[in-house]
Formats: sequence, structure tokens, C-alpha cells
Amino acid sequence: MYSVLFKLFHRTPIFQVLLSGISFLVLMVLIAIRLLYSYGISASFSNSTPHLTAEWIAGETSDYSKQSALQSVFSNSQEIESYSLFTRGTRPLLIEALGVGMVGTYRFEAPVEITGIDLSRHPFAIPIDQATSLINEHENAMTERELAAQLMIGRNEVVVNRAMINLFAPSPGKINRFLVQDIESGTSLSEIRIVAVLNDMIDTPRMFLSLPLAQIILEKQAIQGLHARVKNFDRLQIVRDSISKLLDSGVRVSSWVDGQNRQQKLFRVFDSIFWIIAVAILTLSAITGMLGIYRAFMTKRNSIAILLLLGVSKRTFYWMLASITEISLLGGAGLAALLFMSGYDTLNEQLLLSVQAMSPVESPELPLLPFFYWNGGMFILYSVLSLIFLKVILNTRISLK
Amino acid sequence: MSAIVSASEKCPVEQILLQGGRFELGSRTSLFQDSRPVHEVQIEDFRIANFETSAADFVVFAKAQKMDFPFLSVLERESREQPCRPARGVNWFGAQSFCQAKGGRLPTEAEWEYAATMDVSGQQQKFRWPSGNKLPPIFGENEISGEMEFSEEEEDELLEEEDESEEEFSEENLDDAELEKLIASDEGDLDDDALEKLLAEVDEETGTKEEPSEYLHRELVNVQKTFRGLNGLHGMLGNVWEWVGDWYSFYPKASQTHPVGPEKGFWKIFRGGSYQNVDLQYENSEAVLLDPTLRNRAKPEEAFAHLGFRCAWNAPP
Repeated sequence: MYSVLFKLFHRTPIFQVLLSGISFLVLMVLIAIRLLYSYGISASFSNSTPHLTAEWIAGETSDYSKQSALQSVFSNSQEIESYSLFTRGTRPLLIEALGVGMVGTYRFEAPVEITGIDLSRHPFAIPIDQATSLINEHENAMTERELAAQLMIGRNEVVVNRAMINLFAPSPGKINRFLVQDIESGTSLSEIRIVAVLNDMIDTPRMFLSLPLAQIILEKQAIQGLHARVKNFDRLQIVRDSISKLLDSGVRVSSWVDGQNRQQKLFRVFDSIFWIIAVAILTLSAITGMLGIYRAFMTKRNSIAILLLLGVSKRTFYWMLASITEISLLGGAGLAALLFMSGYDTLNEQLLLSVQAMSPVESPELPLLPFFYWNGGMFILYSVLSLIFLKVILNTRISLK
Repeated sequence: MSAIVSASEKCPVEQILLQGGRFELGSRTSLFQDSRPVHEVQIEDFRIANFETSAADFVVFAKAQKMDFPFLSVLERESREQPCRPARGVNWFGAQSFCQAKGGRLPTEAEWEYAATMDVSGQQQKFRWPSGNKLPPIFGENEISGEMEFSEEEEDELLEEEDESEEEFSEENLDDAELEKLIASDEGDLDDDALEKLLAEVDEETGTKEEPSEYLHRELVNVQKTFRGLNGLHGMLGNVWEWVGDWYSFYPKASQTHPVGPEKGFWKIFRGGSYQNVDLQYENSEAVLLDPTLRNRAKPEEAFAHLGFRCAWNAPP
């Protein structure tokens, strides 16, 4: 009986394997991209930015005891890699070129977001590994550590972002000196040396510099808060919660994830698209698979009718076809896994190249456990959908006998 | 010391055999936190080039391999005019290929630091700099640096070398024509240009310059004239940064045996500082980037004009 039934549907498994294999492959690629973006790339972006930021809710303070108390909580934590006090402010500035090699004098007038950071401890919160060094007096670009040392030791060194450097004309490929002045009074505030350009995607002109220099330019001594980096990025939320408990209620602790609104929004958009595409693929693929069975059903309807007359039950039909479908899906999953593994390096490379063109992120590892869970989930969903469709077909077609 | 591994006769490179041992990798006082935690590392015997790879040697290799990279034209010019300048502007892959073609590899990070800071022949002691516990004097500005500390054996070795170099330029060792030129110069018969030319000729013949090699230099110099430190290795501090084999990652706390770094990564490490970092100092302090425990990093495909390399080899079994 079973062999007769199998002969009736002998072409169905091949069709199912190919169809489900392609569907699974597309889903695996989508899942991999999603996981790489959500885990690896997020973690990579965090390499040079503060993981945690603690700020006084009431605003900046010059109270040294408050600053010390805040620092001591972080210095006592075994989970913290480094921390630095910071101040931030936006001020309209007039910046005038002083450097040799600049043709003429260039004046820049715009509000600039100024972030001053305690640079005595490396790594600090200026993302210099995402910055391009300008050419130094040796006609050479500086390496990352040279840039860090320049910032730590120099008094006037600053890093600006692309939005700010683009406002200077001509493009200053070399390190140059500038005079920062108050835009209204014209009072000279300080001399600065722009040593690197941050490759961020933010449209506001930004300037990163040492805390004392920022305090001079912003003309305030107050500290806004503290940036910290955790030793283990995976424990970020746990550390954030534990640190928050140790601090008084007047301090708000936000994590790197909270601070990356732009990326978080982009990720949410991607996530929505992922779900829509994934569900669409699953449904279409399952429907197409069932249409294949339905087609076989229709072409063999005479034989099926005879079998039913001979006493084969609907249940037997259903389990027979369900078994064929499930085995075919397993075959499809295996095929997809093979294709995925053989093409993974190329996929990863292409993905990374496109991302690294914007920002120097590390090559993230695909987190295998979540990858297996996700794919397992997709397989189960696909199977359930297929079985439901099969049931519907059988219930409608069997009556044709 | 063993085989000469240079293609250029003017700047021969020798392999120095270093006996393995245990040492503490990292520093508790480095400017950058990633030199910590200091942890024990067991190093196996290995050989390392006594000089940084020269431009002349690398250009021969690059031409044979039909390599093309932005800095090649500069290296080609230098290989003609100043062949013993260090190869630089070479990315990690180029450096590794060169060393593999010489039957070797880039040194591991731990090997590099071991070679730069451990007195292997003597007391198996780790020093702060390849010069001992004092930074080498900076050329032309002795007052900054203070004295160097060497073991007695090293001092003897240095004195012997000094004697040898004096002998080399003694009258007996010069041929008649050279002697005549020198005597003429003594008598004032040579003008400044002619004297400079004569000195340049002597330099070219010997592959050296008149500057002493126990100094750090503010400018790029021939690989032989770089500072000579522990274990007879030149240029482990200054001149050009040097690629090592390892991918960058944080140091573990646990001790390790012959570590080679992680299998994958984003940045490759380079060590040793360059001539451009000599003047970057805290007030009345030493050059902060000229620290043999300091870990610099860049993507392996990146190249800098002050980043070169030297090769290492496994010790024969």
C-alpha cells in the first residue's frame, strides 16, 4: 500500500527538496546578516566609543566631591576597563587658519559640538580608530597609537568630524593650526591643531579634545559626566544595572546601545524588513510546495480514487504525504546548509567590505548558537505551515472521489 | 649568529640565534592599557634578523614577485640611492611574504618583545629598553637621555666593536689612494664638497655612515646605523615600526607557551616606535612611544612610511 502511494508521488520529494533548499538558503543568509549586524558589528562599533555614560540628571557640576564619588564607583568595579570624565557643549565659534601651507586665511563660523575628555587614561572615548590621521610634519599619516599619544601629550590637539572639516576650504590634508575665537566678541579662546578627522555619519560639526582645552573653549569648568568602557561587552546591560544601583538617584547611567539611536533605528528598520521577507519566503515556499503536491494529486486523482475505494483512509494519505514532505524539508535544509557553508566566506567578505567602507569595524564572528536556534525555528515554522496546507488540500480534494 | 640572508651585499643581514626562556610579556607602566596584564610567557629558541629588512632587499623581492604598491617607487629610488634604508610602506602581507621567501616568518609579538628587552646571553633579565634601563641617547642631544646600562659582557662587546671600527679606518687598513685622499684632506687640500664626497664614498663602500649606532636618530637612517641594543639586535627601538605576526587582541592573564596570537582578527600588531616618535615626550621625560612593550596596530593591508619589518626563523631542531 505504502509503496503504491509512494510511486504516485515519487516526483514530489525532488521538487520539495529543491524548493525548500532554496528557501532555507535565503533564510539562512538573512539570519546570518541579522545576527552579524546585531552582535558582531554592534560590538565592533563599540570598540572605540564609551560603553557606559553616567551623567548627573540635574546637569553638569563643578563639585569636586561629586566627581570623585562618581569616579570611585567606576574605579572600584572589576567589570570596568577604563573611565574618563567628560564635558560637552555646543558653541558658535569662529575658527581662523594659522598654519603654514594654508593658502590665505580661512574663517569658519558655525556652532560646534565640543566634547572634552579626560585623556590621561587610554583607551578614552574619542573613537580614534574610526578617524583618519592628517599628514604630519614628516609628510606621513600617523598610526592609531601615535594619534592617541599626540592627544594625550599635546595641549592643543583636536579631532574633528567629517561634517566640520568639510566646512574648511581647501580640504586640509595636513595637520594645521587654527585659532578659535568667540564669534560675538572676537576674543581669542585658544589655538588648536586638527590632527585627525573622524569618519562618522553625523551632520553636526563636532570636535573632540582634551578636558582642559574644552573647558577653555567652552569657558566653563563644569563636568557633565563620565564615560566608561566595560571589559566584557556581552555583560554591558548587567554592568549598567549593577553600577546604577551603586550610584545615587541623581545620576543616570545609559549604555552604548541607548546612545546609538541612529544605528538602533536603522537596525529596527532592517529587523522589520527581515521579518517581512522571512515570513513571505516561508509562506510562498510552503504554498508552492503544497501546490506541487496538489498538482500531483490532481494528475493522479483516478488512482487516488481507486485507492480510497479500496479502503485507504484519509489519515493514511495524510501521514504518507506528511512524511514525504518532512523528509524532503530535511533534505532541503541539508542542501541549504551545504550551500551556505560553501559560500559563507564570500558572503561575509562582501558584507564586511560594504560596512568597512563606511567604518573600520572588526570582522565579526557569526554567533553559532543563536544561528542554530534561529534556523531551527524557521525549519519548524516551515514544517508546520506545510502540514497545515497539506491538511487543507486533503480535506478539500478527497471529497472529489 | 648564522646565515647571511640578504640579497644586497651592501647591507647584509644575519640571523641571531636567541635561546628561549620565560619572561614577563607586557608592561605595568606603559602609556596604553593593552600592554597589561603582564603575564608569563615561555619562548622557544628562535632566530631573528639583526637588522630591519633593507629597501634594497625588499625591492629585489618585490620585483621578482611583480608586486605593485603605492610606496614601491619610493623604495626603488631608495634602493638605488640609499640601499640600506629600511624597507617601509610595506603592508603586513608583503612583509610576511618576504620573510617566507627567506625561509622564515615575521616574529611573533612575544618573540619580538623577548628579543628587544631580554638579555638572553647574560642574566636572563628583562630590561625596560633594548639599551638596558636607560633610554638610548638621542643623536645630537645627549643631555636628554643619560647613560646607557649594559652588562659587562655587552660593554666588552661594544668596546671590541669600537676597536674594530677604529682599525677599519686606521691608516694600515686604507689603500694608498684613500690614504692620499685623507692626508690631502688633513692638509686642507680638499674643499668641503670634496670632503663630503669622500666621506660619502667611504660610507657607500662600508654601507655605513659616520654616526654612532648607539644613538637614537631623529631621521631615517641605514639599518646598520640604527641603535644597537640587547642581543646584538639593531633598530629594535626607533627608525621604523616593525610588523609582527600576531593579530591584535587583549593579553590573557594566564601564562602562555610560545603564543602566536589569535587565529583571526582585525588589526595586526607592530612594535618598536619610529624616528618620528623620538621627539614626542612628556616634559623632561622620555619618548613615550619608544617603548618596546607598546603595542601599535593597523589593518594588515595598511602601510605607513615609517613602518617596516624584520624576519625571524624557527631555530633548527
